Amino acid sequence: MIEKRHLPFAVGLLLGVLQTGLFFQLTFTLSSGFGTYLLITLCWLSGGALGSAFAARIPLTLYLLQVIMLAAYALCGLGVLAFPFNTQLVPLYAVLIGAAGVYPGVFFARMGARLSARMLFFWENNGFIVGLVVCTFAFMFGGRLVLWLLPAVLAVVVWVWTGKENTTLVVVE
Amino acid sequence: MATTTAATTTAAWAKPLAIVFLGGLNLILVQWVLVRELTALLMGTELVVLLVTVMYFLGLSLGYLVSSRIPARALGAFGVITLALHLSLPIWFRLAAAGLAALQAYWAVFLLLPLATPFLVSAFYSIFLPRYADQQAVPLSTLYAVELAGSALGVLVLVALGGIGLPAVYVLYAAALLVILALLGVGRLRLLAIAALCAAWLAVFPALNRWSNARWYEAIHDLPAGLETLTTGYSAYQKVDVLQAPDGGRYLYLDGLLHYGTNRWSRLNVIMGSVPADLFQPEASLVIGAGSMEMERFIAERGGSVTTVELDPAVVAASTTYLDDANHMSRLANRAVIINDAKHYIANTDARYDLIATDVPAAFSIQTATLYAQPFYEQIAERLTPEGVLVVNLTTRLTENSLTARRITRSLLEVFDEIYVVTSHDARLSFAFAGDALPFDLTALHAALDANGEQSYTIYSRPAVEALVGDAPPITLDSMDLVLSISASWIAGRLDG
Repeated sequence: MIEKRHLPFAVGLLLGVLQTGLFFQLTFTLSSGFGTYLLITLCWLSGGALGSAFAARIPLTLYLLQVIMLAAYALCGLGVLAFPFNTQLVPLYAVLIGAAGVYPGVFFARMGARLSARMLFFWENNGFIVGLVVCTFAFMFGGRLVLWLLPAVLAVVVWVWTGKENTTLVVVE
Repeated sequence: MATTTAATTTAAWAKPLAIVFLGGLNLILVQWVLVRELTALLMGTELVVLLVTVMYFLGLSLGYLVSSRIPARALGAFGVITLALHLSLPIWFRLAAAGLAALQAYWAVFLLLPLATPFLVSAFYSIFLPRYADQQAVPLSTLYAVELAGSALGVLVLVALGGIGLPAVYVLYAAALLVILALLGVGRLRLLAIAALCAAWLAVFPALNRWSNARWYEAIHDLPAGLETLTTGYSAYQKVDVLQAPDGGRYLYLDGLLHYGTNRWSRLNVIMGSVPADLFQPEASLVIGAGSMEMERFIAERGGSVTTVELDPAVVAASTTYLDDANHMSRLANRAVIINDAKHYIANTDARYDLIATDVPAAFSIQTATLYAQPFYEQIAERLTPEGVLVVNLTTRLTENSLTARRITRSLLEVFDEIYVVTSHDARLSFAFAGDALPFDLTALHAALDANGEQSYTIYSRPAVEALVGDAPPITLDSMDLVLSISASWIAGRLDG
C-alpha cells in the first residue's frame, strides 16, 4: 500500500535530480554564465506556472506529461553533448526546459485535490532536497552517467506510484 | 448576478494572491542574499554551497509544516520579525561569526548559522500558499501559478538590480514585505513606523555593511586592525570584496577566499606572468580568470597583446577600480578583457595564443574543478600556437602526498607532450609549464626564475613529474570526487584553526 505522501516525495526527488542534472549538463557544455542559470530558472518556473494555471484545461495525463518532461531533459542532455558550447541552440533549450516544467505545475494542481496542500508541498519539498543532495554527491562519485541513470530509475518509481492519480482531471472549485 | 459573483471572487482572491506573489518574489531575493553571504562567511566550497541551499529549502519545508497551525494574528508579528532579521542579515551574520572566532569557536559558525537558516530565513514565506489553499480561499492551482510568477519576477529583479548593489535590492524587498504586512492587517500607524525605521536603516546600511565586512575579515583572516572595506558586493556568481589595510596594502577576496594581497600571490603572478613572458616574449597571451589582473600586467609590460577572459564582470570592475596599482589597467594599452565563460570562449574563438595562463580559484567547487580537468586542457591545446605554452597553478605543492596537484598534473600529462613543473618554496605552490613543443629549455627556465627574484625553487622535468604523479588519475567530468575531498579538508582546516 503506497501512502499518499510517498508520491509527492518521489516526484520531489525526481524534480530535484532533474533540475540538478540540467544545471550540471548545461553549465559544463553550454556555458557556466549567469545566462544559463536564468535559462533554467525562468523557463522551469514559467512552465510550472503555465502547467498549474491551465492544469484543468490540459487534456493530458500525468503519465504523458512525465514522458514529455523526461524527453525534454534527455534532449537537452543530448543537445549539449552533440553541439557543445553552441549558444545558438539556447531558444531550443528554453522551450525544452519550459516543457519539462509543465509537469510539476500540473502535478501540484491535480494532487491538491487529493492531499492537503500543506502535506503535498511539505513532502514534495523534502523529496526535492534529497534529490538535490543525492544527485550532487552521486555525480561527484559516478560522473555524468548518474545524470542519466538516476532520473530513469526515479521516473519508473514515480510512474508506478502515480497509478490511479494518472488522471486528466482536476477538481475545479 | 454573475458579474457580482465574479467581482466578489476577485476581491476575495486579491489578498491571498498578492501575498503569495510577493512572497515568491521575496523568497528569491532573500535566497540571493543568504546564499552569497553565508557562502562567503563559511568560505565558499561545494559542500558549503550545498549545505546553505539545503538549509534554505528546509526552511520552506518548515513553513509548509506549520502553515495551518500559526494563528492569523501571529502572522503580522512573524512578518515584522522577518523584516528586521532579513534587512540586517549580512551584518549580524558577520558579527556573530567574528564574535565566535574571537572566542576561538569559529567551528560553531558552521553549525549555528546553517541551523538558524531554516527558522530565520525562508520559513515565513512558505506559510501562505498551503495555508490559503487548505482554507480553500483560492484554488491551489491558481496560488501556485501566481507564486511561481512572483519568483520569476524575483529572478528578473536580480538581473536588473543585482548589479546596482544590495541596498537597491533591499529597498524593493522591504517594500514588498511592507505590502504583505499591510495585507496581513498590520495597522496603518504601526506600518508607517515600521516603514520609517526601514528607511532609516537602509540609509545607514551601506556604511554598516562596509564596517561589519571589515570586522569579519579582521577576525577570520587575521588582517590588521583598522581594515577598511573599499568595495563589497554580491555579483551573480560570488561575493566580491576589496579591502585596504592601514598601511595601504589592498586585498581581493572572492567568496571570502583570498585572491590577491599577500607576497605569496604576487610571487604566483611573477612565476605565471613575468617568467613565461621573459622566456619567449609571447605576441598573443590569454589569461583565464581576472582576479587582481597583476599577472596580465607583468605579461603586458613585456610586450604583445594580453586578453583576459573572466566570467564575472564584478571582479573586473573591482580590480580595475581598486587594484590599478597592481594591474596598471589605466596605463597599459595592450590589454583587453572579455566577459565570458572560459570554456565557452575557448570553444568558440578562432584566436590562437602563444601563452595561456589560468588564474582561477582552486577546485573548491565543481565549476572551478572543470577548469583543471582534462577536457578543458584539450580545448586549450587547440587554441595554442605550435610552440604555445600553458601555465597552470597546481594549487598546492606537487608532492607524492598531494592528490590535488598530482591529479591536475596527470590531466596535463594526458594532453601535452612536454612539461616542466616549478615548485616555489616562497609561494609554497607548484606551477606547470606545458605544451607540445616548449620554446625554452631547463637552463632558460632556471635563468628566467633567477632573473625574476625567485630564490628558492625546484624544477621537475617530465620523467620526474611522472614519477611524482604516479598512478593518480586525471580530473575529468566523470571524476569530480576530488572536489568533495578538497571541500571537506578545507572546512576541516578552518575548524582546526
